Formats: sequence, structure tokens, C-alpha cells
Amino acid sequence: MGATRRDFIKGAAAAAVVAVAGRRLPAQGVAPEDAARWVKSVCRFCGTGCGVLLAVKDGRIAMLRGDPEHPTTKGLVCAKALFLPKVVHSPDRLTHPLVRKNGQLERASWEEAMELLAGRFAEAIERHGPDSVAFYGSGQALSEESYLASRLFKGGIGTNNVEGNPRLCMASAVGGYVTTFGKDEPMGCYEDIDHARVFFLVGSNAAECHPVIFDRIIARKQGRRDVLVIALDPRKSPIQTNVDLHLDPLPGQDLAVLHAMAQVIVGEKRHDLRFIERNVQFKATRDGQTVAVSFEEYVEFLSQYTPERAQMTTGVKAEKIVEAARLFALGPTMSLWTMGLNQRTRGVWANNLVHNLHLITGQIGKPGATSFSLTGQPNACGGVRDTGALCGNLPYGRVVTDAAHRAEMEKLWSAEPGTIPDKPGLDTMELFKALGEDRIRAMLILTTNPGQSLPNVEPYRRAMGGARPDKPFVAVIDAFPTRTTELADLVLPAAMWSEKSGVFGMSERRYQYMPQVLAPPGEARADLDVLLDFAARLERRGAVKEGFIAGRFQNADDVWEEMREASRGTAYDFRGMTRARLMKERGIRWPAPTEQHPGTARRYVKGEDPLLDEGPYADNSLADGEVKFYAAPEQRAVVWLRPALGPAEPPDAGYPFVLSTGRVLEHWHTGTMTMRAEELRRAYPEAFVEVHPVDAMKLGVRTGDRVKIESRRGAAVIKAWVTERPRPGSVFVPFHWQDEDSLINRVTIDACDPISKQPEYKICAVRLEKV
Amino acid sequence: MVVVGAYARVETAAAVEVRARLAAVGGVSTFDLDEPGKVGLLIEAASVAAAHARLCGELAEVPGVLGVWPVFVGAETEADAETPAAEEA
Repeated sequence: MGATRRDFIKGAAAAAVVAVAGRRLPAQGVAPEDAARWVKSVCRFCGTGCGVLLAVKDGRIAMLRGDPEHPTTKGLVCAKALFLPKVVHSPDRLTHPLVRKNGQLERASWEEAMELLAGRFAEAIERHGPDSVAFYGSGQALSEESYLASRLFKGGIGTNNVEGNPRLCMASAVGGYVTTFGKDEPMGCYEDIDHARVFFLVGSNAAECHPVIFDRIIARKQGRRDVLVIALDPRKSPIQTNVDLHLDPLPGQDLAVLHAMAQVIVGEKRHDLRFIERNVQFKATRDGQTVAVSFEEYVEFLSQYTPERAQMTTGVKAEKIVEAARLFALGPTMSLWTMGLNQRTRGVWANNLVHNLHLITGQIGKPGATSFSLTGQPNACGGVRDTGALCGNLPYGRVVTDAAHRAEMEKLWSAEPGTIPDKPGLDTMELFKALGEDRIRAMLILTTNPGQSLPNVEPYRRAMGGARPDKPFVAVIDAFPTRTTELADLVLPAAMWSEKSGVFGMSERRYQYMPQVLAPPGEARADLDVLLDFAARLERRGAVKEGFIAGRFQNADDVWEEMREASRGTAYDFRGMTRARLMKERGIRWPAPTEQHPGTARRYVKGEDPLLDEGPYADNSLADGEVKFYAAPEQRAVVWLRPALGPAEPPDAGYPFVLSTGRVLEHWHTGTMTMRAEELRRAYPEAFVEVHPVDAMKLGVRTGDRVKIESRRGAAVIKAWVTERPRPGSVFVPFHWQDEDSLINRVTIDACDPISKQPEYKICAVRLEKV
Repeated sequence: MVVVGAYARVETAAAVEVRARLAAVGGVSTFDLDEPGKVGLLIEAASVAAAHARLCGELAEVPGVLGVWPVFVGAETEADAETPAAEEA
């Protein structure tokens, strides 16, 4: 029996490899011909947006494989995606509403649950005003869901207290793109990987967090000595085996490295003066005011960041900085980054400085030359950033502080003029603080797990679930029990991936359609259905104008039609992305203003970007291939003179180590889904803390010992892994595990970037003790 | 016993030699994939932790290997999955 089972497992393992890595043989395990039908869809983990094919049989997903016809991921998926069917069919799914009664969550009917939800929100709005309620969404919700929620709260209820977990992962990238280029989202695409000769990976463990993209980088590098990878990262993450030049600054000191690279570039006249003169402006902040400065002033500013000086403050050898700068200027150079740059109190500035390098060298808007932020969630871009489902935003690049933008959306939404407040609502951390102070009286949380994922999580857990008189009402819509549902007053069971239909928008502006192929388990409902039901009940109670949502939308298709219209005339124009096209095609990249337009590989480039041909941004004086940053002020991108400031909480005598958090390949975010696939759970069944051998020796710690990691805010007790991955003086912990000992966000800091309001998960001071 | 399915990206020019080196690692068998720079791997080990250590250590460090990507983990029994790596050593 043992041998038989082992043979079966080996066969399944080989089939999985073939499905992922490519071999033109039918996959084993479940033969394709046994499946009733194959359906194209999209993975719902990271922002890569891998195309997948689903074998559906007897109402279940029998098998998942990469879609070989997908234009960008070409049949590749990672280990997590392969186990999505197991996640969806997990017996742990929430299947009926739960209402807290006498301190316990008890089964309830949908009618009781929805009346409670609407009643508590209507009561809060009536007694305390619209700003006493809030929505906290997710980069995992479908675009239609986030759009509808934002529409309901901003245009219906009249509050901008609309936030989502992309605030925790992508807000600094948004701030970087907006302050440099005028509008959010990358201008490049994944094909740029196939043209780049220099990859500049900044604070990105793409090998584990975006494995399909990293595989494409390796494929580009494979067999070519002229393709090089530069890493700027304090940690030697698993990308290291493919890195040619590693710049390892002290945590939080990378801004000086980026300036020093720029100093070398202009000092050695490796900048592109013609590109600068045509497309770039320079700005600085002085006495709190933004002022225009000259290129010469920028050069003077950089003189304080010579490589030698940077070496003294960052720990990176000057000759490495010089080499990196020269390679960067040589190009074509593609920068890619993720949380190492974003989850920082100087995240926006760090983003600006990467863009600076591209702008002064002209390494942008050409094949292989682009400044590309990778996304951690499947729909942070298309769902939350683009739909404007954050407290200061409105759909498709509009902002709540702009009267014309508010008027456009109020007209489209048929809201009364003046309904959308002219000031941003509370950002994520402010929102949960306000909940703890009972200023937020009712909050709806959708498809996310702040009870585990917020930094310095303990006070916010008390805010959500701490018993107190007249406690605010917290409702959670989710597919699984989480560290957040355990705190909620109301839990609504959600349909998840493949049990509902809608659009995901991923890192390269590609919008992709996910079809419904399964019925949700038990009484679970699609989030959009819940939001429509919620809106109708608020309308009946007078908290929202009658007919604002009820009767206008029956399903996600109806919402998508309005979203297309909302994109009209904006820099996002995707009116050409009809539902029918999305169902048929394997994603389309915006702008795509007409149904005949194939989508845009590179924005801001004449000959590729249709908005330069027709409409408000058109410029027919440009030759094909020329760049115009039409969304930026004066249509010139901004090179910013930002001071190289460090982290909010550097190490000190009492807390001498730096803690950084992140992910492993097999798990995703708070583990809500990946821990439900036994194979993935077993790969990393428990948390670990990476400790450098030098530190381990001082602490008397060996691999497998339990270590207490303590900050000024809280502690976690986790097994040590002694490894040279972190710098001496730094430790690293993935944040996937939810058990009491491993809840590393009890330790992290909730200090935020003043521009993006994104917390500094990557750096806080801790002390270690063997226990 | 635990089985891990994986693939390695290898230096294309030395693919044959690298594949031989990979196959020489204990508990590892290799198989062809479409691309010349990719090698399929089956890793058999006494525990998940041991398999993982082999994947991230021995295999990743083989000269000519650019990256190793696990895509499947299966255990014969629950006990196999839970066996700590230290016990196996």
C-alpha cells in the first residue's frame, strides 16, 4: 500500500510540475478528458494576474492549471495557485451568517443579519452623522464590489470614510506615481522584462512573492551575460542566487543610496539631458511649500550624497554604488519594487527617488526601460486604486478635494450636489483609532483580516472586539473564520474566487474577467449581492436616497457598465473593455478607449498610448516613440529633491535589533486561505524568525530554539532559523501565522508615511531573548 | 515519506551537466521539460522540513542552477509531514 500511495504522490507531483513549468503532455492526476469543461479564469493571489484554466466537474473544480494562451504569464502559476481548488472546497468555509449574542457568535438567518447590519448603520448615521460609519475593503475584492461600496458610502451615505488594505501595501507606490507623474499606476508592462538588460530590484523578494514574474526575469537572464540584476535590499532574500550586484544598506537608509546613484550619474555626465529638457521638471519642498528648482540646483543638492558619504551612512560600499549607477544609466533598465520600498515612513519619497533615476537617465517609456511597482494583491490596482476606493479618492484618478471631480461623480451617480464631502475621510490607521475611541460607530469590513494584519495590532483588536458599554458595531464579510471574524458583532459568509463573477485588475493595468463556475457553499452569498441588499435596506430607512442603488444594479455586469462610463475622458479610459470582450479575451490593458482598441502596453508613449492620439491629452506633434507625461503638471514628470531621512524607530540600546516582516512562497498574507491547503500548510507549519549567525552566537540561539521578539508595543515567541539572509543586527519574520505566539503584528509599529499614510512594517526596533 | 515536485532553471549552455549534478543529489530524480533551460525535479525525503532543506540548500546551491521552484508537496502519512528536520539528521 505504501509504495502504491507513494507512486500516486510522485505522479501527482510530476503532473503539477508539468502543469506549471511546461511540457506538452496531458497533465496527470485528473485527466483533462475527464473534466466536464475547462474554463479560463485568473488566479486570486498576488498582483501578477496569472491566467489559469479550471477543470470543472460535478460542481467542483477538479483541477487548475496555468493557461498556456495567456499573453503574459504563458501557462505559469506558482504553488499557491495550484492549491486554490483545495482552498475553495475547504470544509472550514463560513456557510451561514453569525450574530454575536451574549458574547457568542450564533447562527442567524440572512434576514436577521441584514436587518441588523442596516439597522445599526442607519442608527449611527441618524444619531452621529454620516462620518460615524466606515467601510474597510480589500485589494482582493472584485472591482465591481469596491466601486459599489465606494459609491454607496461617498455618494449615498455622504462619507469619505472608505478605506481598504491597499493602504497597508501599495499607498506609497500610489503616492510616488501621483507626485512624480500626476496619476497613479505603472506606465510599463511585463513585456519590458523581455527587453531589459538591467533589472533593479528594490525591496522586492520577487522569488517568493511574485515567482512567475521572477521566473520571467531569470528566463531573460538565462544564457545572457549582458543581462544583470542589481538588488537594493538589506536582506539576502531568495532572489540572491540571481543577483549580480547586491547593495545591502542598513534598514531604512536606502534613500541615500538612491541619491548617491543619481549623483554618480550626473557627475559622470551619464544623464540624458535631451530627455530631461523635454519631459522633466525639478521640485523641492522648502518651509513646507513646494517650489520649482533648476537642474543645476538638483546637481548641487546631490553633491551631499557622494558614494563615499553614502557609504558612511548606509554601509554600502562606494564602489558598489558607482557600479550600480553606471549599469542603471546603461540600460535598458527596469526597476521593480514592492513592500520594502512602500511599507516605510518615507515610502513615497523612496518611490520618488527610484523614478528620479529613470527620469534623469531617460530610462523610461522604451522597451525594457520602465519604473514598475509590483502589486501584492490581485486587485489592489483595478479594484481599490483605480475605482478610488480610498478616503481621498474618487474613480479613475479623481480626488475628493477637487470640486469638478466631485461634481462629475455626483452627476454620474445621480447624487445630490454636495453629497460627497470635500475633505478626505479617515485613513486606515486613523479609522481604527477612531473605532477604538468610539467615534466610528459602525464599520463594515470586507474580504480582509485587520485583526491580524494591522501593525501594532493589539489596540486595534480591542477597538474591534473589546467589550465595552455601547461598543461600536463591527460587521465582517469573509469566506473563512479569521482573527477578525472572532472580534465581529456580525459575520456574513461570502462567496469567494470562482463562486462569483467580476473583474480583477493587476500590476500592468490588465483587467481580467473571473467567471463564476461554482455555487457558493451553504448560504454564502456574493459580496456584491450583500452590498446591493445592504444599500436597499439603507434606502428604505432613509439613510440613502431612494433609488440611489436599488433598482439601478442587478448584478456585477450592471456595475461594470457604469464603471466604463466613469472612465470616460480620464487618463484611465477603458470604455472599450466591454463585458463581452473581457469574457472572451485574456485581459486588456487600459487605456482602451474603443472596442476596437487592443489595449495599451506602454502609457505616455506616442504610437502606443491612444490617449496621445485623440481626446484631451492628444498631441500630434510627437513622433512615434516619444514620451509625454500628459497627466503631470505642465505635462512634465517631477524629479524630487527629497532629504534622505531614516525610519521612525531606529534600533537603540534597549531595542538593538531591527525587525522586518514579509512572506514566504507557500503562504499568502494572513494565511486565511493557504493554511487551508494541507500541502502548503505543511511546507511551513509554523512561524520562524531569521537570525544572523553572528547575532545567534551572541544570544546563544540555535536553529529551532524559541526566541522572544519584543518591541515597545508587544511580543511574539517564535522558533529561530539561524541564517545569513538578514544583515547582522536585523531579524525577519513572515506574518502568515495566526496563533497567539506568532502574531508578529503585535510587535510591529504603526508609524505612517505622512503622505501615503502607509505604516512602516519593514522597520521597527526590537530586542531578542532565548526562551 | 514526503514527495516534492519542483523545477529548476539552469544555465542553458551547461544544462546537461547541471541536470546530472541535480540527479546526483540523494533522493532527487529529474525529468525533461519543454524548455532546454528547465529541469523537472522529484524530491523524496523523510519529512517536509527535510525536503524543504534539500530544495533550498543542496539543490539551489548546485553550480549552474539559477532558481528552484517548488510546486507540489505531498506526504504519505500525516506523521511524515510533521517529522522535524533535526530528527532526520
